[in-house]
Amino acid sequence: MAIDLPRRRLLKTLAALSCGTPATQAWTAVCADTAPPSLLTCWSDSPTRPSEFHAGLLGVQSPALALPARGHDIAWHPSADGSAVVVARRPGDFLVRWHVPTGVEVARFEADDESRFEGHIAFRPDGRVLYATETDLITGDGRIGVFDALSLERLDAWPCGGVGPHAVEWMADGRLAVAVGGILTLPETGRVKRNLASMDPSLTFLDPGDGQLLSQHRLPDAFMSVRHIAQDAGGGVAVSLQNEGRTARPLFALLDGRQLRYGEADADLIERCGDYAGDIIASNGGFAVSCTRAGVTATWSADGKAQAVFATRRVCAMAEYEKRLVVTGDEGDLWQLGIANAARNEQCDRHWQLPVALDNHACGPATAHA
Amino acid sequence: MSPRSSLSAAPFLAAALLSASAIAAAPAPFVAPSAWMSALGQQVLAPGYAELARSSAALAQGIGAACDAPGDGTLDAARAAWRQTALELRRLAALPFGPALESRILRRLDFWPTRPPQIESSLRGRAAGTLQDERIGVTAKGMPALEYLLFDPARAPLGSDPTACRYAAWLADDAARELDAIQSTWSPWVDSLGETDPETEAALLSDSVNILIGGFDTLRVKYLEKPARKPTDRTGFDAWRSGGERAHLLALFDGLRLGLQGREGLPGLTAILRGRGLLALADRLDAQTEAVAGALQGLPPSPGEDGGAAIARTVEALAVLQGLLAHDVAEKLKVRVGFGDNDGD
Repeated sequence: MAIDLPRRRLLKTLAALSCGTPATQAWTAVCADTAPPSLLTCWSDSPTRPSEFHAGLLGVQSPALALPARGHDIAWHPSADGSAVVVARRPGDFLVRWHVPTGVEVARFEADDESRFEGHIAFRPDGRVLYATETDLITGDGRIGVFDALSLERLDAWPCGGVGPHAVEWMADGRLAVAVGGILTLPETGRVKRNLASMDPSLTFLDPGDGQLLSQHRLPDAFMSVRHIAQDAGGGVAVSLQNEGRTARPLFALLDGRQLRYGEADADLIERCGDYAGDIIASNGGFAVSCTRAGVTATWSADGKAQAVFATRRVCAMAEYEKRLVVTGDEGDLWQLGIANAARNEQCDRHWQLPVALDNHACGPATAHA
Repeated sequence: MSPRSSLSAAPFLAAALLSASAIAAAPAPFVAPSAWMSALGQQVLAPGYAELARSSAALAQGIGAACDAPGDGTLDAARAAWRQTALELRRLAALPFGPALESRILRRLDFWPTRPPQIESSLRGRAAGTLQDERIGVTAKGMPALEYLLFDPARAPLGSDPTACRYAAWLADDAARELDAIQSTWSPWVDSLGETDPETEAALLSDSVNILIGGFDTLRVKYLEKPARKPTDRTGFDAWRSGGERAHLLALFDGLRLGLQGREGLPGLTAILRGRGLLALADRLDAQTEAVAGALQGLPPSPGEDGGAAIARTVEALAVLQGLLAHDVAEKLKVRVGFGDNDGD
């Protein structure tokens, strides 16, 4: 028997209500006297052998959206209609828009043999167009998929200046910034890195109207993969990095003119941050970078000087909540960090524990929920 | 049997038991990943792709004959040629090693699900001269596109549509040309496997294990789970237009199984494991492979119409097998899995 769309949506909602909500409400305050921030994020049932995947709001009465695999980037729709969009973790095949308060799916795009998603999305501020990082499965080239932000119908696809794009961000001046990781992977071998000897990472800027490559910026070292992008209130652009080489480098760099320039830090801090940054955010007049494998959150000034380091095990997602930096880890930790006056301060202001594996990205509350 | 004869047989029985015990205890020969790949390349892939090129050329001829002399006889012959070629492709698609991986040939010949509007648009544009051959993308080419043109029940028969018929013949010819172009790459690839260092061996093992995991993931998700999301709708299943759904699933599994278990004179991944003393793990892989084979055999010919429970059993069996590969085998062989849900960004 064919199931009509409204009925299917209802069934999805019921399924989500029955299995998605309770886990994230069962939080424990490790060091806090309030409920945890209601971040919009993805999670799974286990950090090591996950089998169930959801997206939704943490800690509040809101049904979660069941996902077929791990979600990655997630964002409220700019129209403030209560909907949000989640994209599959790379290499992934789904892009879903759903109404967060009800958990009802509104639109879906599934990639086929032509392309796969690389994990990140960005909205045009008017809420009509959505950009997603992708890879062409035939050529291996990275590209930006262009979608109707409401229906998720594909509108176009543009080259983005290299292979392995990851994050895409809308810049304040109306350009589109793309973190081109430079690492080639193939669908046949999943996430196995196939070109480490010849990788070519960069930060590129595209015209969001036609995809024209406006500029491309590189680091001195080709082994530092550009993964995520943030822009501060003053327009400064910074990136977080993953080190594929054997020489220690900062996991933070600023765009300085035409060059990407590493943050300034001593050898001890560089070592403490390890080789893998999971996210970056502009916060408190500077930037913060989550160093997942090293288990620390590092903050940097707007001009690129290292500031503070917080011990935050398996940290990845970062968001602003009530003007404070909030970070989460894949062992279910959620910290609210006080970094305004921090100087090598390792104290976390608040700390909660949730019984799920929180995923790599999150965002704070929407401006309004219809 | 008399007591005497029983007694006289005892020494032979003991010797036989001793011999069997000695065989069971004998260490399996060590198989290097390069030896595994070399054997696969020489015995399966190089001859398989050569045969596929010939079959594609024969398919092009068959479709050409159907265009020149439309009729049930020529169309049936062309359809039979497609069935044979598509099954050969499906078996080989399970093992995208060496030149098959580097050339992206399978991606160019096997785009699925089909996009009929793009196929129709391309064939009209090509006939009108507004679309050059080199600008026709993979979404309008390959064996699934040919199946659409040859078998789709809602489409006009090829015999009554000369434009579509010529396009179909060109598609088959294009596939044959693509396949011909990689024939000369197999021998150098096999030769290159003769001179490997430990780092190369480790990379080969990593690629090989990941490719097998990816293959089982493709069989499970792309060819079973996704199409089964629409109950009673068979149109998401590979080869549904030609009625070959089950045969194609089995062909893909046959290819994967060859990579996993090998055959007489051809090592598989289980031989790699046994050569490293991982006998119990190899046995578990064998047992689970048999479980998958049994589940696949239990599928009806058209799983999309009445195969819900059987599909669920097969998906479950495949998930267990994939888990064995991705967790247990990968851990023992120190291979980093590219299909895990628990790492990185």
